[in-house]
Amino acid sequence: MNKRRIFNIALTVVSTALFVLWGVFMFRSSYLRVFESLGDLLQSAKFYFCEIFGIEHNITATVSGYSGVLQWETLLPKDFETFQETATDYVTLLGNPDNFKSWGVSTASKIGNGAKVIAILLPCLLVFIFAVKKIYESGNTKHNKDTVPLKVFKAVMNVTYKPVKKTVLGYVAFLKEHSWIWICWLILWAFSLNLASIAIEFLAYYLYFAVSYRFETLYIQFVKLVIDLQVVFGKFPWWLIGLAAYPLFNRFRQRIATGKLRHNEAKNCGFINELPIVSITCGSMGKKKTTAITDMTLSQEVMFRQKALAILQKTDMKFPYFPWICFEMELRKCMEYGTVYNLATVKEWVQIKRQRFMRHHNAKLQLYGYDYKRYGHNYDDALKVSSLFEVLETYALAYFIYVIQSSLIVANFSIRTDNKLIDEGNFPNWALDFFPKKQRKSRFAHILDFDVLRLGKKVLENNPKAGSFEFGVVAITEIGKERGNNLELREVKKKNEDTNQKNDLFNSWLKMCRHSATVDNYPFIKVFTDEQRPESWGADARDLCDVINIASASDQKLALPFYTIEEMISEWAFNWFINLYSDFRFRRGDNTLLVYVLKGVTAWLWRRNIRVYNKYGYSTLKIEKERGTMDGKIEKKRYYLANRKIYSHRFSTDCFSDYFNDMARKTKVGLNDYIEYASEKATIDELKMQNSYFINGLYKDADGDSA
Amino acid sequence: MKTVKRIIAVLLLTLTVLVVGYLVYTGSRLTESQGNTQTEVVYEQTQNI
Repeated sequence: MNKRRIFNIALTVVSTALFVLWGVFMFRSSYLRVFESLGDLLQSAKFYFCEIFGIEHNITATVSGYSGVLQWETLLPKDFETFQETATDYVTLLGNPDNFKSWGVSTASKIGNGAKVIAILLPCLLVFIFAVKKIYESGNTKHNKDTVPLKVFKAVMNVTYKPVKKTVLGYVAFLKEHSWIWICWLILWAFSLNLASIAIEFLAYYLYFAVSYRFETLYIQFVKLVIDLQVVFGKFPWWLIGLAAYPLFNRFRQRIATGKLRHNEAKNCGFINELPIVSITCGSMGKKKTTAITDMTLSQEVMFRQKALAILQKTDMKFPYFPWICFEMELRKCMEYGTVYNLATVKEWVQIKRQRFMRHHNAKLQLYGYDYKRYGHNYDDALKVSSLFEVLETYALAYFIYVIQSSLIVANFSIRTDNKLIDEGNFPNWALDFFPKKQRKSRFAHILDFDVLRLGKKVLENNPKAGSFEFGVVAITEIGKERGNNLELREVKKKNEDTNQKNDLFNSWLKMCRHSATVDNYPFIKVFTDEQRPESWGADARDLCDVINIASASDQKLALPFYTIEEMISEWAFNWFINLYSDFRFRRGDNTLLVYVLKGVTAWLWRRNIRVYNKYGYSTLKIEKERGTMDGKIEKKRYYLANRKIYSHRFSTDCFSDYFNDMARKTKVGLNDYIEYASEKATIDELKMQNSYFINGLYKDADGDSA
Repeated sequence: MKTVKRIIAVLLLTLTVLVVGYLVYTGSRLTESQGNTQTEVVYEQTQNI
């Protein structure tokens, strides 16, 4: 056992002893109240059962009366009649001008005290600022050298703050590792702070009220609750209660924010569901086209998993007594062994099972003991009659899509997904939330080999992957540059030997892709594309799409409520410090204590603000949706981009940057090597250096005329 | 818009503090007056005895 562990155990023992002693000496009444509450609960339980079973009794439910242990005076009267009178007095006093004036005088006096403090502090602050300015006026170039005060400060921190921080963090990690310790403390404090009594009393009153319906006792319970809560509010200062309440408040507003982001995501899913199988997102550069299609692709992948699950659940109901778990396990084994690897092989596998069953009628082997004579082997939905093996095929296809542990995205740029299959050996669950508390393991989209989308000629002759693509989400950025439009392809002929856009039958695949991907009448395929102008993609393909024009992207918004003042403080602190810091960086090269401390505080505020925006920020895209035929009928829509979902390393906005990097690396010049103009007016030589069609044309004409 | 939002947030916070302060102050005045009334009643009863 190392020293750290011994220290942690000793600290735990001492803390527990302190908490127990604190409870015994400071909150003794709370423990007496717990015993009283248990008595109330026992009486209420007796009362409840006697009333329920109609047994005659003379039990008095003590919960309906006041506590004998806690008899503190509260602002609230003991009975409802007096409460009404007091409430009337209170309301009258609220509207009383004398009371208001008196409050004004009292408040002014408190503000006056604050003003006195400010009056004392303000000159000190001014003197301090003046002194600092004087000290920092002189510049130096002592790069990265610490000043003497900073050296002293760091030395003091090394022996005070650092070890304390290390110990505290180590102890927190120890507590996290042994969660039973803090759970025990929590229970202890729940008893000490009378929270346990409140819970027991609630249960006791519930049992009493459920059979007595005595509404007049409700007021007494409310007063008792206030009295019980006085243990918390009466024994601790307001600032300590505020500090303890802040994490609860934070959690409350974080839940609101996450709820709002999830609601936006649900609206996005509604928007995506309205789209046809192929869509093209358009907008000028920087309008977030690729961001939008990536976001839609991620949502669509999740929706496919959810849809597959829904099909599984509905198919299960068709033969409710079929041992689905055995069927799933056999299918998963076949997937592991590689005998089943796509939808076609799934169908084949079920077909083989069917043939075997028809041959041997061995239900134990082929149907896992399913008693088809008792439970039936046909399902009639009033439209058609499906056999057991038809239903099994649907189930197997949906299960294959649901359980496949790779991304369902195939794209010409990389997209990161972090969905996680949680499997404990039975029916697996997917963690598909875009706003999880903890980061999950990443996986990336499949590389799109365009040959898999070509029904005609392929770029790679005898490509082994050709014809393999069945279902999934296809994302293609800059589709126009890949496919071209009618004008660009004027010179390209269908009869050409080489594979081209006219003989690869990509458009035929687009028109027919749903056939390979349909399970239970639902197409598990969607194609998202983007381009700057819809006309850049040929009309034959574009007519299949909905065109999504991104009209504008809003500024960043925040889903987290009650954050305005914190954000304001953070922004002010940052702007103020940056001004000071820029001036300081210009003048001096050394490190000073003031800048060190201020920078630490400002950086903490700035980082906190950034984290809040990254977690709860979102922007809204204003979208104009029209049909691919571009008949001018525009629908105005909104699409929400949550920072947490789309900007957490999902894709690279410069996905083709490596092409340019490679070109630039091969050249031996950079921006600095480009020749600058000698004056504000270009000389003829300088103009000729532009290699411009226009300038070259001018000089060619001029040379021709002179000749 | 951002500035307006911030001004409203600060004003609302100040207003909330003042309103809660007034409600608590009035409550404390009511308790004081009730305490005084009770003391007076006890005094009068003592006088009668």
